[in-house]
Amino acid sequence: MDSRRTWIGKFAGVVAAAALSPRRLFSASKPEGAAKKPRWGMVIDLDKCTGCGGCVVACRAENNVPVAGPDNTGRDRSIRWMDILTVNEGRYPDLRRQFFPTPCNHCQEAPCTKVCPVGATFRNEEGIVAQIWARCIGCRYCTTACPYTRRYFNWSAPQWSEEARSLLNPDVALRPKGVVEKCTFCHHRLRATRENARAEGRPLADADVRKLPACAQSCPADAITFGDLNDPESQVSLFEKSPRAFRLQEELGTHPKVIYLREGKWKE
Amino acid sequence: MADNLLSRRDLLRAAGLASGGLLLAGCDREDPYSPKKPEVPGSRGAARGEEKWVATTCAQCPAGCGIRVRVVEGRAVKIEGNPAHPVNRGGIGPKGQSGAQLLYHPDRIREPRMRDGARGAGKWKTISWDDAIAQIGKELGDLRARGEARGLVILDGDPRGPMRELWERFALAYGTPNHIDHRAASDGGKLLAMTYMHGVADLPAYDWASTRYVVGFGASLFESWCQTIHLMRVSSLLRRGMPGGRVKFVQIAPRFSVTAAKADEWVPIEPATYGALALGIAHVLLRENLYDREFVATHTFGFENWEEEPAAAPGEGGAVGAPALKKAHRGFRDLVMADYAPDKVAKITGVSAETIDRLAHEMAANRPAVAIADGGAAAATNGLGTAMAIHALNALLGNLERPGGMVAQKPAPLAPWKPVEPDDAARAGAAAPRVDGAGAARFPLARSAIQAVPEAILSGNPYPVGALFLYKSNPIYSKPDGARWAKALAKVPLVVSFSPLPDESTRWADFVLPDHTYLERWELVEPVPSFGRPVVNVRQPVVQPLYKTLATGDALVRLAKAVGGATGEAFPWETWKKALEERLAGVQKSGVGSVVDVDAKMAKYTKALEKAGGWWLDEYAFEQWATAFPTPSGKFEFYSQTIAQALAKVAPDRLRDEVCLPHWEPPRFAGEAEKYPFTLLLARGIEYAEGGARHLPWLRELPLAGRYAWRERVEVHPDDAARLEVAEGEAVTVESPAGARELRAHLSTSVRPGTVCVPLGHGPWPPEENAATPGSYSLLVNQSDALAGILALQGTRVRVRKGGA
Repeated sequence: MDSRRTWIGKFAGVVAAAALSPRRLFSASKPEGAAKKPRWGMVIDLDKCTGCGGCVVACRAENNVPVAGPDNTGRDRSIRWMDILTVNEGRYPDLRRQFFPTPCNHCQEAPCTKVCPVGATFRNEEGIVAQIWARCIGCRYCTTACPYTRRYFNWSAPQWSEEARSLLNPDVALRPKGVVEKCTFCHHRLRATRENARAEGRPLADADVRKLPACAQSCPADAITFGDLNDPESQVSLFEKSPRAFRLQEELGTHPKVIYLREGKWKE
Repeated sequence: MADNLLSRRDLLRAAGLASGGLLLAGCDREDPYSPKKPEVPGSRGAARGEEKWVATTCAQCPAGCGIRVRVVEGRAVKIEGNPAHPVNRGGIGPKGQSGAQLLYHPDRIREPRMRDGARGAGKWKTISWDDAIAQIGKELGDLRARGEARGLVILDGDPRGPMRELWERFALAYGTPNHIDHRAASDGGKLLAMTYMHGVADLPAYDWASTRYVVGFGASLFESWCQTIHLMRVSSLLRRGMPGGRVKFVQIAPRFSVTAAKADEWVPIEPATYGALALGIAHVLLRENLYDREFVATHTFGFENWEEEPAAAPGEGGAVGAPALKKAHRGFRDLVMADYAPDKVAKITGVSAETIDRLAHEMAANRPAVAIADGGAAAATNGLGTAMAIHALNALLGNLERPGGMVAQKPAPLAPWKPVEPDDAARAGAAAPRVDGAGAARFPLARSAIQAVPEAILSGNPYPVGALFLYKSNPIYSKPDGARWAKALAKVPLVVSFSPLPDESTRWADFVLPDHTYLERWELVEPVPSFGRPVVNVRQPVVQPLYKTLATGDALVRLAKAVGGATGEAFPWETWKKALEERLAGVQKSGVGSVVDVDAKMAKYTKALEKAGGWWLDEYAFEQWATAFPTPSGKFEFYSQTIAQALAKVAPDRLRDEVCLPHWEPPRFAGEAEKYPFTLLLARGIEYAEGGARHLPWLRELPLAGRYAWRERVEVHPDDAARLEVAEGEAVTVESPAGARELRAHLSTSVRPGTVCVPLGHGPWPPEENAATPGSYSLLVNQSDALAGILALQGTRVRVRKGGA
């Protein structure tokens, strides 16, 4: 074990210095003229959501999340950065069922970041809870600490058929067996979009990012919106003020940045 | 342990390097984390990092969503919605995105195959395209020379558009009446209701954006419904973007499905009683004078009792005095008022009279309100009457061809091909009766009845089937009587499959001519109706074809030439694309729509369409009353004279007023209640595509499938499960008079006690060898609407016992 630890230590050090430092990863380009750093958040309108799972597949495709296969699925070990939580209530025929698309909440007070013994996870200065798989030692403290179960451990090596390798997104690294992974709010897309804006010599606009994450972009019901909660003009900020807005398990004091809009029903 | 460490270290290195964005040198091929990709035809010569987006059209269902595919170094990496496309406006569901897994499916058939061993043994040898086409062409030519052209059966899974028309042309030019689609087993009921009452042989469309109230009769609006993705886009507007407030969605269905959960109100109902409920609502609308009297009086036929003018007698004018007898017919109002009082309907449907009353009042008060029939709702032995009853509500509410109402699909301005000039053999063959009995004494009101094909093949009645094509069709798996289908396929002398993937039916083929996947071929697509405005989608190769496959359109053009004679002459084009461009000329000449360039060369116009993803019109012309209802009366027909005429011709003994009118008759259920205590429901979830979801892991692993995603499951109410002593996830055997199947019990409150539900489209992948009952359709007893040939998806009882088969 010793040799392994030293090796990982060295390796992580080198890589972090070279490329993976949080600063470099998440805030390489400061938005021009922005008074405040962005605080990225997401709003999911449960009234619009139809539980189709388009977001789930979009996320898996975009982020190279491996197919779980029969064995891992049977053991509840599927990895879905974006999942759909189904809540059933009542008995036939007085039934109620709700679907909650559940990405990482990117909590402002994220419990998972506080338990990581090796600094593999942290909240960056723009509010994204990041994970560096190369640093992760697979202790799973963070998966236990997350009250929303939004962190996933790689129980086995991912399986790709030779043919399916063609599908892999070159913008997202593959994760090895034994590390924890999670939703990144598609930060690679954020970075690319920001670069584009900078190349065009303009600040990042709300319209650039509203449908930025793969889940939001795919949603056929237009239920998912992404944006800067620090920008009072952004769509997410407007939604945040809606009387329908709530967060999951707000009482825990985690301050999630995924905000839900309550489902409605028709009234005469 | 040491080995593990070593491999893990390699993995970390690979992952670290990849995330650092550094070059990867000397990466091990065996390394599962290597981002190194295999060589594919399109990747050779691609520049490093070369990236483009290609607009094309999804084919995972017939809805025709516009998609954009991200292609990196010649490989398709991601499918996204095309924001400009009117069907989906940039959204795309799980099915559409999973198409990438179809393209790169490891089990794809990579070159043409020829049987090398006994029928169904699954032994193949490779054959060149030229040889395969020549051999099949020769056999078809011989069949034709023997005067048995009618013995060719084409099973075609395409519901609409140029590819279907190409098959139709092939059937006509070759000389067979047996171009058989799958509609009897899917949306046949609502299609026939449109055909007979509206005069339009196409599925209904809806002016969704202006509607105020939606009642779905078993319609899985948010799951497996041809307009699902379009509707999701619209429904968020109807719920959250309407200045007049929220539009109400009511879902009427026996099971608490995803659609029922997302509806504003769910009304549970007994299976196969939708027609009675629709007529109960009609009763209230009529009784309380809530219907649109002006519309009914002006634009409908057969509402009141009516008298038929006698046919002009020969030698008219000679006979003096004896007035010809007028024949009295029953009208819609009389039938509904006499037979469908809410109290009576409540006993049939299990929906209370108060609810029926309230729904009628709400619909009348929130116009335009639409009543939507689903193929599944009308899939019962009383299917046609049911579909007509639901359709009739739209006429009563006066919403037909009006903003916010139900509209007929307007045709796209595609130029027709030059008409086929059939020779004598073709004329004789095409005039023969169909083997499925559609339009004949067997099913006088059907347009097709695929479920009748195996019986016809096995009995040789009305004539022997000499050859059979499987295009987008796997009937052994996706139709009842799978085992009989296998026997039937084994009996046909020549079976050709065009499937890109192996399946149960393709196993019985003599030749397999693998199609390109939809991401590799060029074609024009007319999607099934969504909003009534014409759409012509372009589908283009986003990557170079991976294997030695060929678009079936091209294969067919070549095959027709190999058959030769008049058949070949009807297919004069070099390629399928050339044939399509001929039709596209009509769109270009129309000078309207989203891409207008009348004077451009075809190549330039095609390029413009490829860039946009297709052509469409943004306007719908409402209230074109002169042409809206091409029925015998020129009006919407409550009393369908087309039905009366068809029956008078083929089965006069079965012609009664009632069958020409919307009506409800008790459904037939197979299996006695004592022996088979459970009612079987078959459900199509969002993952269901024709042929199912089983070969695409992303669809199998959708969250709703839970832990049993890779198993076939059956939903059982917890109370029933307790009685059967079955726990969640345990194996149970579900048995119907048709067959038995081992499934996993999923305890669910969504189904009523006494009912079990099997989600369709799952099952083993790769297809099991020689399975007697390969899919859950095999539980279904093969019975149909006696006149219209609609397959009864609701109509089988089952028993359930603990343990495997």
